[in-house]
Amino acid sequence: MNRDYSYAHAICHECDLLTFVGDLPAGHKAMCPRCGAVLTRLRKNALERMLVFGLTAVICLLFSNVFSYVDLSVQGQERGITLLETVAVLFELKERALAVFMSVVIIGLPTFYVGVICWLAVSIKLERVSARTIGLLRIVGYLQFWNMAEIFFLGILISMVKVSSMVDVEVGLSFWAYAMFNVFLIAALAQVDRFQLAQAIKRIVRDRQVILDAV
Amino acid sequence: MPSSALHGLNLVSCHQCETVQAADRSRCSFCGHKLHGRKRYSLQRTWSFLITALILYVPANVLPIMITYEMGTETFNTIAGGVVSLWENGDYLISVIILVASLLVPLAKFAAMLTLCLGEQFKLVDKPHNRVAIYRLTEFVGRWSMVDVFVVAFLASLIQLGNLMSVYPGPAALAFAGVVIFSMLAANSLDPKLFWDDYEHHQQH
Repeated sequence: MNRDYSYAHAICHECDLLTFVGDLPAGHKAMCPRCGAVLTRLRKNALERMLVFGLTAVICLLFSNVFSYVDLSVQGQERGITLLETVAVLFELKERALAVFMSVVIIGLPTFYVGVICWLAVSIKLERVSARTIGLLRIVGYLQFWNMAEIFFLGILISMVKVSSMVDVEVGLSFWAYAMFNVFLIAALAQVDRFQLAQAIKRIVRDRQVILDAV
Repeated sequence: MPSSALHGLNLVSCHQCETVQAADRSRCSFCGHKLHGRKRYSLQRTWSFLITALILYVPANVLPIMITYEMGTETFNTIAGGVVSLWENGDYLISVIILVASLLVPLAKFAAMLTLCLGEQFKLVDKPHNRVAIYRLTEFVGRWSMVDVFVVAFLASLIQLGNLMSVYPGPAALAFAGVVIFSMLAANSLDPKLFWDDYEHHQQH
């Protein structure tokens, strides 16, 4: 076991085959030759796009909390709610488990996820990686699993059609902001590839070591 | 336990950062996460999550998922009842989306997971390609069933007009959220590498 497999090789997460990946050119993906699973994918300008789309998503999310997002009126009575009020009302209705779950998977976690990928993009781009950078990379897998922002968005669309026959609903400015948040969140997350991020960090650490050795 | 696909090399890849390294380490040399060649107790965990989801599926369908108060009258809606009333109102598209996301997808997912688990449990040798295709599909669509829970939660927070019209989530909302979460966990804890072990073993004999 003298060879070092820790930089250029990948083991397929679906069938356990060891494959040489090396440095992937931008815009390419590597697939497992046996089962066809995608091993890793490097999008063009992935780090820049992660940061740009991520920041845009954060701005959209801020806007979607300022204005009301869906307004409804029935026989003269009117009511409008914002994104945060959606979960606040559930708390008031004593649906605490549902409220906690929703605030985590549709607000807290996606926001944190965007923060994490922006942080990763900046620290790798500026070559300022530390133990914290690696720690953040470690939790990306969990964040990916529990993020349900786009499912909630589909839920809003369905709800509106569902009630439109009984009451008058109108979408507010925040609705569009939240729609854009979802678009940019998906765009930012499409750039994330754990193997490529880990490899970029390893490259930086290795270069640092070469300089230290030369000195 | 390295599989024969690694050609006798004692290697594992970290589950969090995908770094390939010697399997005798206890923690990843790069990120420090605990190393496991395979997902631990994969089949046992999958069975337990799957059975939990199946049990929760009963209250999720029997109890009302949404309670509507309108001018003093109460209406209790189950998942299936909601699909029927949407269809009768002429909202065919939404009716079909809810039917697929809330009834057919969970059922198909149970069938798929049962097929995979039983196949693994009783070592039924099949081409792993088929099983992997089922596995990938189950893993991908599972989360989207949550949409019905979100619809109910969103309607409940939006429609609060006192006696005129109010909507409340029923007990089935939480049960159904449980069904989706536990079936997501079941798909996540099933290790597709197991399918390939049987295949290799079979080919060698």
